[in-house]
Amino acid sequence: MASSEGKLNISELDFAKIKENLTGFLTSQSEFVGYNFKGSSFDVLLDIMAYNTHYNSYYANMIANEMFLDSASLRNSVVARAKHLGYRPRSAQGSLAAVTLTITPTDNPASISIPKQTQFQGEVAGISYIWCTTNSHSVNINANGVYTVDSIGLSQGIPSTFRYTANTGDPDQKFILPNANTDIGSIEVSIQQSSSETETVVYTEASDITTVNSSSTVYFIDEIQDGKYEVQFGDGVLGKKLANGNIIILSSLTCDADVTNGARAFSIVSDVGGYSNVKIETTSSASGGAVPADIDEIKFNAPKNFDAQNRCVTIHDYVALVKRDYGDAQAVVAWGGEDADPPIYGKVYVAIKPTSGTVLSESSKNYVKNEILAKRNIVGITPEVVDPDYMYLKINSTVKYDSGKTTNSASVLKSTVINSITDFGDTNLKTFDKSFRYSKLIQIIDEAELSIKSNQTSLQLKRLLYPLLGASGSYVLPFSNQVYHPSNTFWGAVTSGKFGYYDSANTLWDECRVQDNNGKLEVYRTSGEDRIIVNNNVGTMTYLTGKMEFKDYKPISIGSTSTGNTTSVEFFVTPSSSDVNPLREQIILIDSNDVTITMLDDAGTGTYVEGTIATTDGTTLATGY
Amino acid sequence: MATTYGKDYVDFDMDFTKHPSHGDLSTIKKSTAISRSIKNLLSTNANERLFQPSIDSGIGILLFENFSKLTSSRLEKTIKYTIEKYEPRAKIANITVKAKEDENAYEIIIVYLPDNDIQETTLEVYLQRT
Repeated sequence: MASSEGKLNISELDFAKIKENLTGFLTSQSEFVGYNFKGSSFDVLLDIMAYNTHYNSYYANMIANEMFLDSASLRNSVVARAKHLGYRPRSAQGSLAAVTLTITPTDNPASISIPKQTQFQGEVAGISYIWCTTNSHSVNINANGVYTVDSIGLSQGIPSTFRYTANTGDPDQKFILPNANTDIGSIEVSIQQSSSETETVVYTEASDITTVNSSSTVYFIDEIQDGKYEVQFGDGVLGKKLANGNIIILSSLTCDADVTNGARAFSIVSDVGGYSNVKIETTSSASGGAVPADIDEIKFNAPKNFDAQNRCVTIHDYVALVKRDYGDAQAVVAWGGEDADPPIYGKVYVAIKPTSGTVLSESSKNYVKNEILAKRNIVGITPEVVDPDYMYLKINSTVKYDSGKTTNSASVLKSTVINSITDFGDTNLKTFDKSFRYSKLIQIIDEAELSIKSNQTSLQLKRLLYPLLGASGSYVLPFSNQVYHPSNTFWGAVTSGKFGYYDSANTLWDECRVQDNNGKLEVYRTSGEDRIIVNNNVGTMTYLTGKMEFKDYKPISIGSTSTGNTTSVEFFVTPSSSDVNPLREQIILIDSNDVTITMLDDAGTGTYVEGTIATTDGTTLATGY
Repeated sequence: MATTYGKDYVDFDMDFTKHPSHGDLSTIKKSTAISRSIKNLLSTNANERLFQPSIDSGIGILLFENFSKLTSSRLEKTIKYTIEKYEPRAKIANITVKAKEDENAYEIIIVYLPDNDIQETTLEVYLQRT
């Protein structure tokens, strides 16, 4: 709105409005009259004045935005605001791997020393990257006459060292790690007294200022502009102060973040402890590499970290700290042992779904447990890092379509529907606390292609059991959802894949399966259409909670495998509700192999398919369609 | 109905010269202000004005056309359109475009009637490729 009666309105920010206000203001004076014509000199002046005002208002607006965590859009501003909340964003993290080394020396040394930051190389997608040992190791010859060291930790990154000479007369002196992608978990800070005194003192990062005094050899580290890091030292009250001439040595790894996850094969770069004949076995493939926290992540995590106060007290604190300090965590969930089944007091469980893969490696679990959680949780509480518990949806859908409305063949349509279903799973499931909603799925199927008219879809829950073959064992498979079992005479609530099993006459039968009999789990084989019980009690099925418990379950073989516990048996149940809810560490997944689609051309007179009834193994109740 | 006859248009001089007697910023008045405004408009090309990219005399591109009657005619029409659109104080009486091929220039003579006067004003503009 323009000014009136010679008053200049200053509430507008837009160029045109500002100019309109200035023009309105000039109507009240008589010195210049030609100001409101496009060609006049005064109009040019008004343009400049309006532009200048607009520019300044925009600038002031942006400054105000950058002053608050919620509205800041520059990473430097977001990092600075997060610093006020005591939150240091996660740096780039090099992936961690573990290898077992067997060294064959040309001589017979008493021991072989492997220095810290001994370099190895590994390849990912055709590109070689450098890994370094995270610690030094001493290898002694073992009873078999070989030099072997187990599970050496490797951290991805290229080592670099920066030296500064302290000048206490320079108040602006800064000690900066100038490389992008510095993994601050790898930083080592040491101080050499002077150029003539070569002895160094290793400083540690100050994590708890209540324990820091004037002689504490600690450093502080913060992210500064452009993702670089600045190391600061004490002022003589809070931490030991630098003396003039001290030489500051900053060592760190410059990593390649998440692109190095998944490296499995490693080789030496030059030698290991002076020897080049080294056999390398990968104990744990590379994982845990992560890019620096982005703006959205910092905005999300900083307030929660402030709530957690860098301590693990509530389960939310555990989640916040893992998300902050472990970059490869796509999703995190935590719960107290009292909520576990059965309850285990004195423990807190944390389940982490990694960004890459489905489970964390043992080295990553130990890192989270010991380096992130154990240092910050309450005394007497033991943190445990567990794998996510994956539960699969088996989807069977009959889809009617009108061939007159599409140029796609039935097989193309089928692929389209399967892709839509798996995309639905990737988007709406695949993490903790994500329930499956049946109505959303059938809507997705209907909307997968224009010619699709309707669908009739049934689903089952699938879980995988990895029994130790040939050994009697107890196992629990929690489906965590009520299982369809309408009456005591109903059977067929549980089905399974095939396995080999001994009957009471000690005859081994291949292709046995599990069925339920009013809460009891039985192993059976088939003879023609008949089912013959092989073992009438291998466990129980609690329909209300969906808990399947095996006792003395002793499968002998699965397919061609008859040893170990790396081959799985599939177990299926039909849930009472079409919606499925995961519990705690459970994650629901849709695998394309579990999706069965039947396409029916419904053009013209339409197609009718007879319904099925639950009389044979594995079938579900269905009306005609 | 409001009239503009006798209205004293006042603008400042783009040369920013001092007034010889009182030393203040020189001003230009009446038809001189309008003529200066027309000259400003004719020398404005698209995207030159802040936040007003559409203000364009259209002359700039024509100056690089071959000399012909057609180009002269287009120049005349463009100038007329520009003045009618952006300078309502001037009522065009006649526009004469003289091609100066030897000088790579045009001499434009614009005769208009200012809305605050009864005397026609003649404005001569010399347009040259630069």
